[in-house]
Amino acid sequence: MTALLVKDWKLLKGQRQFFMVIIGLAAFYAIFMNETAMSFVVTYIAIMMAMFTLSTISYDEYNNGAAFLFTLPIERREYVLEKYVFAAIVTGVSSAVGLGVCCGIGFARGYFASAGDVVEVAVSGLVGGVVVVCLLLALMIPLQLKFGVEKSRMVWIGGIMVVAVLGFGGAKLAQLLDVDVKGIIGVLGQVSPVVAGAVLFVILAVGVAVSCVISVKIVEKKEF
Amino acid sequence: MKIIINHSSMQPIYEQIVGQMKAQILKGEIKEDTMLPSVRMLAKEQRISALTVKKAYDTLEAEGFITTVHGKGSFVAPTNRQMRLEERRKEVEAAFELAIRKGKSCGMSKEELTDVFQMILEEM
Amino acid sequence: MLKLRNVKKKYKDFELDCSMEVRPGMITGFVGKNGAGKTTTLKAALGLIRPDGGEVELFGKPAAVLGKAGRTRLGVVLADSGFCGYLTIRDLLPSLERMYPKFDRAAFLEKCNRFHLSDNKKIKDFSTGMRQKLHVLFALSHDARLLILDEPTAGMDVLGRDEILDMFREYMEEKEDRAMLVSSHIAGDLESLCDDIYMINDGHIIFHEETDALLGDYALLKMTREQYQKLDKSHVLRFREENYGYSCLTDQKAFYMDNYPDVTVENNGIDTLITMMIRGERV
Repeated sequence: MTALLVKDWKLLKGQRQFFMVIIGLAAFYAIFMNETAMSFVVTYIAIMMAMFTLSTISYDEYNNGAAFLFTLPIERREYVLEKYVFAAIVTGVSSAVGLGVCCGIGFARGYFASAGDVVEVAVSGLVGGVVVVCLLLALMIPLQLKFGVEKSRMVWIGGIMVVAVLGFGGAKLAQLLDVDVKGIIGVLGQVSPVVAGAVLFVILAVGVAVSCVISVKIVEKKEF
Repeated sequence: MKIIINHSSMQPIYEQIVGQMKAQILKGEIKEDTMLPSVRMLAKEQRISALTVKKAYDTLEAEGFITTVHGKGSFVAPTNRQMRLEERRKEVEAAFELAIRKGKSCGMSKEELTDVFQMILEEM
Repeated sequence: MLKLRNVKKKYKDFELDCSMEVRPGMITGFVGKNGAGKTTTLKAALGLIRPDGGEVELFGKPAAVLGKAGRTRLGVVLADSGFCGYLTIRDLLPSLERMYPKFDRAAFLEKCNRFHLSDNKKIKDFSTGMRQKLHVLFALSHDARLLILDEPTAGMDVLGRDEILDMFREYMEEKEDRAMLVSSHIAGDLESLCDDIYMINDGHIIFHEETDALLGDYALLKMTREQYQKLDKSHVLRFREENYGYSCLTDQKAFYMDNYPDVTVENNGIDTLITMMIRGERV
């Protein structure tokens, strides 16, 4: 697995310009916007790094390269797991660095009245990043492995439309059946943050695990 | 050891190798107990199949020109008068064969060929 | 080393049913026209596609149990795939060292240098011939016991090709138990390199012979119509009508040279053989 991680790291280093642009944008947000932008910057960096992990898959598949890759001493399962591990490492490290820098800027500008403020920015930034990144990767890695770059984008757009239609339809249905949606949301709001966090964590963990299993199945079935 | 292969010759490559090696052994150009190049090595040098070389070595071994020690390689065997005579005889035979073939291809009968043979023999 | 037993694969308009064997110490050639099934066969041997039936055996065991350790003993060149184009040779080195315990970095770089393969240029910017050279050099760099090479000399000029073929011969000479399966559409490459040759057509092996016999015993007989009528055809594999009469492929040229001195006997290479085996008619 380390061989693959090293390979993806080299790919990442090969895309320096791309990361310069991201860092530039992140710096722009961090410097010129107010404190609410802080958590956004962290999430933004995490998402960009997650997207990069996805593009390593298309780099691997460029010019039918995956066929050769799987003649090397690499298990297919190992290849899939490495993508998840690589994503975890790069998004984790980059958002931690991003957070550190943002907090530094925040302090310098005197945004933080108390230690609590720092924690609030950090937590909201990180939680936002983790949730979005986990969902994005859990959905996109299997799609990308199954359909490739072009098609997976189509499937992704199609998927969003389906979700939107379902959401809209659900709301309509709730209206028709006279379900008290606002009441349910109100109840959810009263749940303690610890419990909510735990539930969220479990949902994400299960989601990523399922995605991982599906991805392994997809790649093991694939022919090159 | 010098071997030159003619790829456009009608003579099979392994026979060319056998012929040239025999000649060099009989003339004493390759000394007794000399180690021959490995099958793969000769195949590489001559850009021919290893099986061709193996066939040549097997033939040479069967005729007593070389011995192969498993795991060590092939070595030139001692030659004796008998072998040298045998080889000469074969050369003469081949020369006759060629002459007869030529005669047949221009329509000479068995009797005519024998006559020519007798005539030359008596002239000498 | 490698054994395929009735390996089957069905596509819409193509069906593969192939058996072949590569023995230790042997260089086995694999010929056929484009689309005859060479790449499909090699991919089945490598586990890149799943056969619908039959068995693949590598190093004496079913290919399915080969595992990572087994695959370090394989050297592979594919016709239509290779290293990730977005990396440079230098980028690849640390990964290759981790994957192959016997990877010889210094020798590999030295050879890349000899073939003018820049180690800091992205591989996708190489020409086809250069890319193929890189893959060949890599396949020879980690002490693989079995080389499976699909069109390894594709896109190379004559000189480059000769140099690569010499490297194959050297590699085989270094250790006796190495073996090699190499496909090519260039017959000359195979004639001077391989010990035996398989020919595939329409997904089926139609011919297997040792190169030695092929160059020594096979020939093309050319004759007039009258000569053809009188010919003993028991050693004629295929014949074809020509404007001068007939041409026949035989695997016993000595027989015809001895018995039919008037018939023209022509030494023929693999190219003629392929044409005759595919286009010629059976007697």
